[in-house]
Amino acid sequence: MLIIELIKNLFRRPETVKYPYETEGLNFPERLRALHIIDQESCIGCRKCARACPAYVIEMVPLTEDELEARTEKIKKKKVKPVIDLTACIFCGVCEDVCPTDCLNLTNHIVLPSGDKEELEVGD
Amino acid sequence: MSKRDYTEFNLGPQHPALKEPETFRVVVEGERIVKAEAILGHTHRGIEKVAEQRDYNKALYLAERICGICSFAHNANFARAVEFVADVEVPERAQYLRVLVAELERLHSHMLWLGVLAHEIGFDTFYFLVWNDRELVMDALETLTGNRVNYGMNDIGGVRADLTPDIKGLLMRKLDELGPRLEKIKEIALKNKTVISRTKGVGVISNELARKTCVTGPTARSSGINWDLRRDQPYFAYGDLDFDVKVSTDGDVYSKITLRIEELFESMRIIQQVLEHLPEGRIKTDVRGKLDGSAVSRIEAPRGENFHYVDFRNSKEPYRMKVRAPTYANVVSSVEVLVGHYISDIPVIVAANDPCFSCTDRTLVIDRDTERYQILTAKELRKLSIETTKEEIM
Ligand code: SF4
Ligand code: SF4
Repeated sequence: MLIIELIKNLFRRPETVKYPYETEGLNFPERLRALHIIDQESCIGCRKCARACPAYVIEMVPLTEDELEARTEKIKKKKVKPVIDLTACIFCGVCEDVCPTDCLNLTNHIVLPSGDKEELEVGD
Repeated sequence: MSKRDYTEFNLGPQHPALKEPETFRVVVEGERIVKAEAILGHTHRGIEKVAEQRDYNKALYLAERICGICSFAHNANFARAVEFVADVEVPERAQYLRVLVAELERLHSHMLWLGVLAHEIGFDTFYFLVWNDRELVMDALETLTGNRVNYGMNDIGGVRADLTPDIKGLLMRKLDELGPRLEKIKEIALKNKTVISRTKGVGVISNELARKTCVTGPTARSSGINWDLRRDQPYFAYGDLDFDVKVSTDGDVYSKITLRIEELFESMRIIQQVLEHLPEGRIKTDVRGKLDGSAVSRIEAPRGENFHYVDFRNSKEPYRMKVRAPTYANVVSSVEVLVGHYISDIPVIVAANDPCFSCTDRTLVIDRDTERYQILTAKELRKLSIETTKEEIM
């Protein structure tokens, strides 16, 4: 039985993909929870995401002078913005669920490795 | 000891056969084991204490991280305990979806175990074959929940992700593909000489020993204890579903293989029924505000009975959370069974219970000043518990 399997395996295509050199054949489902994107233009700074985050990795950072200037009518009361530290994020997606303006979303982009910690701060 | 030559040695905490750090101290005479003892505590993480500082919505994600394999079992069990305290009714559709993920988890957990056991008996071809097929289940879980391991599927009062027609179709396709592959796995496991010679008659847990050491789950069922919470105290939607509980009376490692393979087919049956009869409706009831009261929830995790206790005292943070993972009950039996076997059987016998030590390690006392740590014995623990209870009552 097993011998037949072994012989068949000689002719089968490999089941593994040589990631990161190849990405063909990899499957990233729609619901996959990975890299966050924050649309600071529509975020109203309500802090709901920071309060709900189970890993306490969302910091509400005060806006700089320039950013305060650049606020549009829609977000004119915004004083703070969320910045997420992905190095400690558990990718649960709770922040996405609680956001009232739908401006914080988790994408299915999983390629996160980086040599620079700053790169893993989303929102700045 | 007598004039005979005894040697005592430690297996672990970093032993190649056991993937998680745990020590087995064994005394051997030649190759034979005459005494064995398990030393737990290397992976203690203080989860119960940390949970006391988080509200129930956050502690839910912490509970999920107690175990990397039965993460859904812990997560769902915690949610269920909190739902008991909050006295809310979980919508029927959510109950069915919980069964769906729980059974997918059982599939992947049993297949993982089978692969690990094949590796322990030195049969790596089989190990890769099983793990390759396991990927089908992992893909299904990833597509449905959004993650391969910590699914984040549950919320207090229901589930977070619904089953869409697209995903249902994909699950059906994956299951159709998995069916014949499981048949093949079954045939190899039951007929292969290597598997039989390394596992038949090895590590027999008699019915008597199983009862004495209070083992649970497949370990208990392979020793003739006909007990499965899914049937005997139905939770989620198990009461509406039709499935059999498999029992074997041999108690050896081989019977654990056959039993778990049978359970794989039963899980497939349950999943098919859920996909066919999934009721329409909401998937969540909202739970808000402070809670008061305590509750116990028990569910049948892939490895056995999983126990969660939560106590709320007019707060959102649990005053106390207590977890008993199945390995905690099962590990005692494997230590007793080791006596009389050869050293080379240790990995097989220990792995046969599907131990998960990260779940198990819980009692460790650390002195903050000296940074020394001490593992409490049952006697000391009992004494401490009586003292603490007295203090609280006073
Ligand atoms: S996904 Fe990350 S940032 Fe968002 S709530 Fe979860 S842990 Fe926090
Ligand atoms: S919940 Fe949404 S709107 Fe509110 S601060 Fe967070 S990202 Fe901004």
